[in-house]
Amino acid sequence: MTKLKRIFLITVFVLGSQLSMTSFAATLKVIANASVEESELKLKDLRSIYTMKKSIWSNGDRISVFVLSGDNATHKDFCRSLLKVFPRQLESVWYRLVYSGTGEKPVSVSSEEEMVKRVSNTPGAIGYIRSESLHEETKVISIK
Amino acid sequence: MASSFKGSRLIEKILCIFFSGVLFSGMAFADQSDWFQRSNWSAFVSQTAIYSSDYNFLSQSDDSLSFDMWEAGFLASTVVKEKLTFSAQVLGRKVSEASGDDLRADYAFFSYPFYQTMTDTLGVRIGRIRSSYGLYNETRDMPHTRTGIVMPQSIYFDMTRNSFYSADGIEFFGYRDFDDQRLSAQIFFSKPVADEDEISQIAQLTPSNLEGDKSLLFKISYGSEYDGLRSSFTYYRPEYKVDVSLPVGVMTIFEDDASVYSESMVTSLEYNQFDWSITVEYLRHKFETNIPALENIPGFQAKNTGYEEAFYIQGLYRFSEQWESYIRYDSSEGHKNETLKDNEKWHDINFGGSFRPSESWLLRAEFHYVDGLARLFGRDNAFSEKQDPYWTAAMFQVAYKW
Repeated sequence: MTKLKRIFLITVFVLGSQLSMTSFAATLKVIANASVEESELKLKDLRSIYTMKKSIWSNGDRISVFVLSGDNATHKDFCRSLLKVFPRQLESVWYRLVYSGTGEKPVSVSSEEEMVKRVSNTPGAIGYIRSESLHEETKVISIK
Repeated sequence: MASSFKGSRLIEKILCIFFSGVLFSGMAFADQSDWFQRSNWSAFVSQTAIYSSDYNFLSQSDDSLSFDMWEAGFLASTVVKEKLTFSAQVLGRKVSEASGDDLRADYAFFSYPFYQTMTDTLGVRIGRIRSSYGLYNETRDMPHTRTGIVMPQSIYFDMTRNSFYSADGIEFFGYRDFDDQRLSAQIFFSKPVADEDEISQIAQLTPSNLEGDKSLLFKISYGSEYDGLRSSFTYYRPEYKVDVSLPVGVMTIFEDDASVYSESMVTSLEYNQFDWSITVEYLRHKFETNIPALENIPGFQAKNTGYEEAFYIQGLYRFSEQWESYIRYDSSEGHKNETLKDNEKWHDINFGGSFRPSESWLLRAEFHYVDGLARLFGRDNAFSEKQDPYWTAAMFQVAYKW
């Protein structure tokens, strides 16, 4: 293989993988219960919510945080692409809170369907999905 | 089971039964009222195999593979009503043949944030509370939150784990969030939990009675736990009352007003990025025994003070979600003008790796090359005048959490 051809193939591979990651990440949506007043969040606020630091919304309602299980592909994508953290690191933060008795970990759900259902039924709830199936009691939060 | 602090053990058992009852009845009635909402439980168990040369390290591992070391924890928490929460943990562990299997109520406390906005919180905790000493004392027993199989022994001594881990008292805490950075402070007034085996060993006393007197912990910290820098400073001073009898010439002096205290100042820095972390913690440690009966006896002094400086530096690299490895240099030295004795120093170069095949399982292996004996349990080792200060240990661990 010539050097030029090798460089071309590597470039195509890298660009292709970047494009596929971008489109994969782009379909991720952060959703919240319709009672939540915020329609957009800074990435730092989202990180604070998912590390269980920020516990109340601007209107004083408690934030209920929902996550998919640690081995779920959407959860891995949410952690790595959006929060920029390995899922295990995030778990360590939660377990430090739980095992010191000073905080709670998020509520884990088993599927995106359950995520939509729980977020729509829980005032102040936040979650994330990759599918398009939104419930009328949920809203999409844009991340700045 | 360790023979020490039987009274405290009784209190722990009563606490366990009482709080277990509260939690389980709470879970049962949770759907019928606004009491005992969001009740949760978690648990973990780990088994460690250790092989060491020359000395017994956290088990009977001298030139043999030992499976003595195990840990198991069960914790439960509930929102009692509105913002009032209750958390409790029972921990079983064995790290020394001499101390045997140990079961204790690690913590059991109520927490109430009396002022809370989007960015600020002020609150109080009451009960048996974990001492938030350094970056990692609060979660040192949970394998999934540690970097290696054993904590850096220079700062987080397993020799005095029970005495330093938690205490009965009241803690005020507050924090302010600046985006994803948090400034937090806490002050903890308590009566230390006393473990006669541990305190008598570090104070080199043979107490007939040991009781926690009072302790103060203050901590301030700033930063983010997984992105960028975080730092903290901890001041911790537990004090103990002790009865001792000492041979002085042909006589034996009995003192029922002796005391021991330990004063620790820990400065901690950690830098976290997506796939790597560096941690440095530095400890300035002072300890003093005071036996007033020796004050007027020629050749003796009532107060004996010791100093120790310790630090560790650790690098962690995450290869993927499953695999990570670390390397650490862990050092402690008694602060003396003359030449350091082997039992006053601890220089441990250690490295290891972990594999997490799933959310629950964790497998670890690590290797230690040590110069010094300062963190070895005297009760597990018969030290001679001419011992070799250089030794090694290999460790393997499997852990599971629910």
